[in-house]
Amino acid sequence: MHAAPSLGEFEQIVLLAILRLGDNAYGVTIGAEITACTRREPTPGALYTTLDRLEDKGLVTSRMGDATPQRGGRAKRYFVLNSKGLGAITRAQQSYRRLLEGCELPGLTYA
Amino acid sequence: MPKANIAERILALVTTGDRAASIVGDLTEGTAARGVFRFWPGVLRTAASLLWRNVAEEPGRLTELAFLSLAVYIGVELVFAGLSGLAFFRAAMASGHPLHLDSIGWKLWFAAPVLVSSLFIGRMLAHWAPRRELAACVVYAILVSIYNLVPMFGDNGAFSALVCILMVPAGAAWGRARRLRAT
Repeated sequence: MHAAPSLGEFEQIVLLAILRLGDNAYGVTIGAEITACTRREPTPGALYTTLDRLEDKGLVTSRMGDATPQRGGRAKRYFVLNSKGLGAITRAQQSYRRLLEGCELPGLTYA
Repeated sequence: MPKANIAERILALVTTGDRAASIVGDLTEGTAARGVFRFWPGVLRTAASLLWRNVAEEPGRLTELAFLSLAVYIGVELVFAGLSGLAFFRAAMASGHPLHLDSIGWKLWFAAPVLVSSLFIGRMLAHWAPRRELAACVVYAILVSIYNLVPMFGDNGAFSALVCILMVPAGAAWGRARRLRAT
């Protein structure tokens, strides 16, 4: 059986942010989405190394977009989850759900 | 924007050119929202993270390259020591009195192999470890520092370590630029 790639907490956060952003997932928007949802601002170093690692694991694919003047004429690198990445994040979240079942956390209603 | 070009060159030593450009583009775009003082810390932290990742991904390969480079360095030192011995002998015979080895000329002569070999070792590392040039330079610098700590070999440890920090990455940047021009 082919072992599924294991995901760290920050890798899951980045994958979910990419999933939420759809076609507009690049460095700036991914960082902003993570900050908005987790109230934790990721450092650029952590974000870009994680994006590279996810691409090396084959969980996301990237493509270069258009260059804009506000970026000094530099192209955006857009990320998108592929089927392997979607499977990995689904399995990871299912594990969390199974762990949460039967737990009572203050302020969290589990549906 | 000159500062962005410098940042792009720094990041290009630890990742591919297009990735370096997109990261600098992101940081430039973020500067508008978060302030200009976030740009350079962002560049340096990203470069440090990517550098560490490069080292952690292939520690065995980079250590192997560092030992190979050290062997080249020692080889150059040995050849130079032999040439120096001949030069001293000829100069002493010609002048008929003892040589003053603390003169500027002799100091430059002794510094030359360390400077030149470090530059060429940097270039070799760029050839052997494409896209991991800086990581290879860091591992080599650590090994050379250890080598120079051994009293038997390290007669001028601080000088050699400083040369390593300055000249090896310069040689790597030279090798990288040459490779990019060729492609």
